[in-house]
Amino acid sequence: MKPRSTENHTPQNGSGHQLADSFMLGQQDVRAMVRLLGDIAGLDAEQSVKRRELMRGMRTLIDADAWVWTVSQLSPDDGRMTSISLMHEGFSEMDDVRVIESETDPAVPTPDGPLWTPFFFSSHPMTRQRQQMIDDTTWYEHPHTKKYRQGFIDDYAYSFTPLGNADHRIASIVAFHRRWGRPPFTQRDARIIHIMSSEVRWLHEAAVPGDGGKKADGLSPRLRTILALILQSYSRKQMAHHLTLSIHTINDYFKALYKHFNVSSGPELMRRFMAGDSGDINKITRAK
Amino acid sequence: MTTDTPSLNEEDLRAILRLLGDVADIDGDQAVKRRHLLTGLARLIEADVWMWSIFSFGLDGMTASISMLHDGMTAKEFDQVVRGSTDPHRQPPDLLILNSHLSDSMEFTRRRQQIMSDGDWYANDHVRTYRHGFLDHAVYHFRWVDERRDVASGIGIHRRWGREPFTARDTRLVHIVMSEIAWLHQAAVPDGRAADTDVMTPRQRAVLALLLQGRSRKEIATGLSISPYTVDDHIDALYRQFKVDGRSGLMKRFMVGNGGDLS
Repeated sequence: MKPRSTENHTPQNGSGHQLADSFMLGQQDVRAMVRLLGDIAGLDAEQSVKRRELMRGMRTLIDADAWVWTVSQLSPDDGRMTSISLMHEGFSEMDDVRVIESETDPAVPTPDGPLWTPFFFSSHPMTRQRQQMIDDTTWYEHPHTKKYRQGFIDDYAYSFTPLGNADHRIASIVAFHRRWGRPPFTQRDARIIHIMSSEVRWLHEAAVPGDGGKKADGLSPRLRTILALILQSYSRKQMAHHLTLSIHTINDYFKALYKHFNVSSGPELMRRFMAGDSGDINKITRAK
Repeated sequence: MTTDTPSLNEEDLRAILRLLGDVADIDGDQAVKRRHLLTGLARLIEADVWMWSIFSFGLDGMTASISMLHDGMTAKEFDQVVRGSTDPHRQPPDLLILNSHLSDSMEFTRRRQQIMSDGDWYANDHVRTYRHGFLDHAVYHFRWVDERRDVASGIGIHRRWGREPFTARDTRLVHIVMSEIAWLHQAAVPDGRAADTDVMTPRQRAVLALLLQGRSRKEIATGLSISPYTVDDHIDALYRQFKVDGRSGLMKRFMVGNGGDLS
């Protein structure tokens, strides 16, 4: 199933890095990038505001419909990737829950998940467009795409930045998405987010619970969905509505999460995942 | 607009973004950010000194210049620059030409070689008196602060005497950063603008510039080789002239975004 013409791009597994590196940005893009980051440098605001502005600006530059900032961890036990979306924009509330559920559904995993594993051991940031990871046929015929993406969101461009050292197996991913039926991202788009994402270190500064602490990978899919929604400031009522659960069930999930992370409130939980607030977490920044 | 056509290579773009990213991460006011950005930019083109000045214009052309911020010079060297720029008999030849360029465009970036030949430069009386053995090559960026065209912001990035000239790449890099980052140039001059500063003596201007850079009274005295009491007298005269009662009041009159009394 091919919803649109694909004549200008072919699957390029493995060769994307070289291709992207040889691509030169034009004068207009160079200026737009300098202007965007220059404006942010002039802002008197906290880091989360600057991060949001930078993601927003990149979204506009590459004409994406939505962006998500995610911190992912590779489990040393089963090699599975656990992702927590920390910030996003462009999805409606309903779509948002759908995206989060899609990432945590063990029955219908994403087709590209395992392909990202080697990136955790990379010493430098990597950027990939969807068609560099998976060819059109595999993508459009995959059950995950059909269940969660069809008619909703289609192509992506991800900048994958390993955090800390390879032992941590933690990465920050800035992801841009286009709606179903829109043209795929281009090399130029990938180049813009790759350069910006590899030079602006604070874009990736996130905190994850220290080695001694409990990690998100021990959570059930449902609890991970709830955690992601808490981190995006959803109210219990909103969660109950979108997940069609009773408020009492949501309350039980909250209790389980607080117990898992050994915290006593939502804000405290947030602090465990966002950088710069609390002494009990290891602040992990980019490798190098 | 400049006459240079080459775009930036990726390495330079990355270096600029890294610098801007660092500036964005600074927890400080605009003056701190401006200093960090200009010092970083000077480093990118291997320059030694930068100076940011504000120029006021009346009907007869430029009437006053105020040095707002600089880096890479000792207080004594800076005093030499200030004395040089206010010497009525040996005016800075580059500033005269640059100010005349402002009538043609809203903003521009130039290397010294683009506005003046080596022969003219090294033979010039001002250069021989105030720059010889001290400051030589320069990249300048000038722009009008607003459409009224009575106040311009000028940034000069310099290499010390004996070093090689700047290249087209250096000019390009400076031009892209300076022309895309508007807040770099935002500064206010007191109401009445030109009127206030053109009656100042060269010494008062030097003291004002050093005060605006946050130097202490003692540092100013040492830097200018005058007694702290003389510095006090200059400072009192400045406070009177600008009708403020302290250094913070003075700062507010010259920095944007702090005082409601600014035009």
